[in-house]
Amino acid sequence: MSAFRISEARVRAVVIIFSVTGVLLLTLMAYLAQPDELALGELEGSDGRKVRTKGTVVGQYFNEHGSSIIMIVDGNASAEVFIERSSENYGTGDVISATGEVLDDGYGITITVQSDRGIDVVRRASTLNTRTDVKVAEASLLNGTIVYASSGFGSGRELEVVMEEEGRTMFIDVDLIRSDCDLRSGDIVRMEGLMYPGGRMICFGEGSVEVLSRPEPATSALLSVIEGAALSPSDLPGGKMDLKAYIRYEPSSRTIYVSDEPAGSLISIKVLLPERNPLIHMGDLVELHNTTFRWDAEQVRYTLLAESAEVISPHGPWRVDLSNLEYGVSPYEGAMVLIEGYIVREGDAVFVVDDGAKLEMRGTGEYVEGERSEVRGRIRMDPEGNAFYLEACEDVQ
Amino acid sequence: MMDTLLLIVSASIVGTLFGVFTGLIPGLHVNNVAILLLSVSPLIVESLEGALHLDEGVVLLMVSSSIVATSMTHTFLDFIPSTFLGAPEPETALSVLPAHGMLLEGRGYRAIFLSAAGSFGAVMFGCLLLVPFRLMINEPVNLYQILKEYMVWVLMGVVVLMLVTETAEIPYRREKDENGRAVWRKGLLSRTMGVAAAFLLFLLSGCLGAAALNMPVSSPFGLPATALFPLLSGLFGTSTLLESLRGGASVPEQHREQVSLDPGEAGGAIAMGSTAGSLVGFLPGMSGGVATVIAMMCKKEPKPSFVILTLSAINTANSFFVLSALFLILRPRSGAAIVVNELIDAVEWNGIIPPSDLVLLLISVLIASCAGFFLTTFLGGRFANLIPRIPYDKLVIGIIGLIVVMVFAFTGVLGLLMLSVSTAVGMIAPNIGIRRSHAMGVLLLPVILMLW
Repeated sequence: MSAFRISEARVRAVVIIFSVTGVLLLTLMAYLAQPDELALGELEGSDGRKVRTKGTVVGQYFNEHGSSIIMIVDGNASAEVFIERSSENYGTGDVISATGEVLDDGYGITITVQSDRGIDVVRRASTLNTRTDVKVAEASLLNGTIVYASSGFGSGRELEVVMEEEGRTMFIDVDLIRSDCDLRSGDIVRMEGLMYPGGRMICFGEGSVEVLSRPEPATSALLSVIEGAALSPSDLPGGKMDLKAYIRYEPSSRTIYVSDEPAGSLISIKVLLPERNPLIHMGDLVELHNTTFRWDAEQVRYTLLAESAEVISPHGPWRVDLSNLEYGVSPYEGAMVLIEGYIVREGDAVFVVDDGAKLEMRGTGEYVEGERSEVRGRIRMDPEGNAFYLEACEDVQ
Repeated sequence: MMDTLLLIVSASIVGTLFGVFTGLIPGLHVNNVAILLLSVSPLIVESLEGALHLDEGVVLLMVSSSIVATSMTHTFLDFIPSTFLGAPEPETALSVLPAHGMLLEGRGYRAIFLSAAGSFGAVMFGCLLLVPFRLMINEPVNLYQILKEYMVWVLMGVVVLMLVTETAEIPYRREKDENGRAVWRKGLLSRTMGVAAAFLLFLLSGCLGAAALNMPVSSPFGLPATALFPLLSGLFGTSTLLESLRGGASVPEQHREQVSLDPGEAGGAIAMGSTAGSLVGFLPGMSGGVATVIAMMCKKEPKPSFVILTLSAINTANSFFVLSALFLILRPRSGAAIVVNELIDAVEWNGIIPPSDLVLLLISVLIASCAGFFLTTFLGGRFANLIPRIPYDKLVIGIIGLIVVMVFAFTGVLGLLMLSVSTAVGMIAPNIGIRRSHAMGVLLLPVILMLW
């Protein structure tokens, strides 16, 4: 038995010192134990390293041992994620983050993950139907061209603005509150407000929307006829005439709306055709044959009656991002678009997927499955599935 | 990362407070608490995700930290009801006896302090030797595989050692004294008779355990039920209390002495207890109770302070290494570990630096242990002052009543039947004069049969 004894006070001191030192050391170790965050393209040569990486799912296969393999892509890089114990389904287009060990055998990269808990779904792929769960807003400053401005001043004005960003077209709806600014279709504006991910912006107060330039309206046959009719109704031509105009909205029946500019205009006129023409689409330049004017007393406006509409110059495809479409696909309905993404197959359906969004392709032509491609097609709504799809797609590459 | 750390610390504090509550309730085992937490964890996860807008993984880690902290704090605090109220758990069953003896000598606070020191010593032991332990259990030594293969023989060896080291001599010769009255005297075979009695007690308690652990006990109030609670309460709790009631013992005024530790004795006891606790933390079917028997084999006639330090270290080391086992061999070895395993994805620890989840859970362990040490000594001191003011016989009767109520609440009428049978078995040892630890056959025999 040794004579030296540890007093109660010393035991207490040891407890405190050990606990504080231990927590500090463990905190340091927690930092060291974090897996490295690497992009998929940076994984080459990382054999044996524990990493966290992100990519878009383009396929998943289960085996009889309860494991699954997910193929993920990011840009031009791809990898397989091997999940040892897996029961979860990851949809094509989902953006996932995988934490595991890298195996680089020279033929390809495999990331080994113990179970589904090593996979975080960063973003579930949306099938481009109506989003109702949008809550987050962020302050934004955007430039664009007004396509449509509702009448009225003060509170409650609505604008539809088309923006060109990095060669891509995007429509946004703007709620303009408490502003008496004079805004017209065709105005190029700068808007400052809260941007909601649903493709809706709220601008509040004077100065929130500033007109940068207002193009002189181009005089066209349609405009001159309407102007003449408005100034002197007695001079309204009684006979039939041919008029050139742009299709303002995607036609869904024999009624179409035309304007004098491709991206909206000061005016849009309702045109009644004897029957629906499936060849005409939003943005196309058409010639209306044998057109006559009719006064619509109910709507207090003129309506055109045309015997036929012929497409003179079809509108070229708009280059759009799938992720932008997710937040506001309705304005593109009927439009010819160019979309870049990965072509993947889910059962009998083929999708183009990119950045957490996917769009089904129907009536597809030639394409290379599993590769990043640019596809062209017209956006349509499937009323049965309540989802949009790309019609008559082709791989432009 | 810093946010996650702060959340883990907060969760650990909540878990610590919960552990204080569960540790002070006699008979409530941490496994029962863990199962209760598992059943409410989806609700906790959902509420925290909604209220704090946290990632699901972080919330699950927070709940796991809380459970780990509860489990660790519980191993510190549960010594208080074990000592003062005589309601033991498997890990504290044998230490109740020396602690109870100290209580009757007016040194209840000393027993509590020694227990808290033993428990914290086990945490220090675990933290300092965690990496060498990993190298021993997994690659390159692979002790886990070796022990797993030969465990049944190790346990049988422990039982044989436990029995042959029984020193009691039982009088068996019937003679007449000088007054002509018949008396029992010791003879050549008295020692053998002692070992035989110990073997019979081992078999009897073992059969009781084997039978009772297969019975479908259930709580009439829907609480988590385990047959171990009535069995251990009877063998080591109510039987001791009834004995002390019969002996007319009373709890004297408790001295709030300044406790000091002999570093050699304390270090040896903690190292022995922690090693035993760590080994059973990795092995299937093993519990702190088995580790207790193994550790007590290693020292002949240990002092009460040594017993308390060792057994408290076993209790805490067992919880500590069960958590490590989850990341080393990916097997949950306790109720709390099962719950943690359900909540987080334990990544196998292959390198030198532990996986980040284990590191974060170890932070919870340290926070809970530090708080557990100070709370145990503080609350233990308060209990020590309170207990002598209550008449001992009334206190003992009250405690027995409390144990009966708790047994009924957790295990129903069947539990009460087990309590009465195990109390009778528990009273055999002190009446014959053999060690009560042979009654640990209640756990050892079913484990050996299971591994056979």
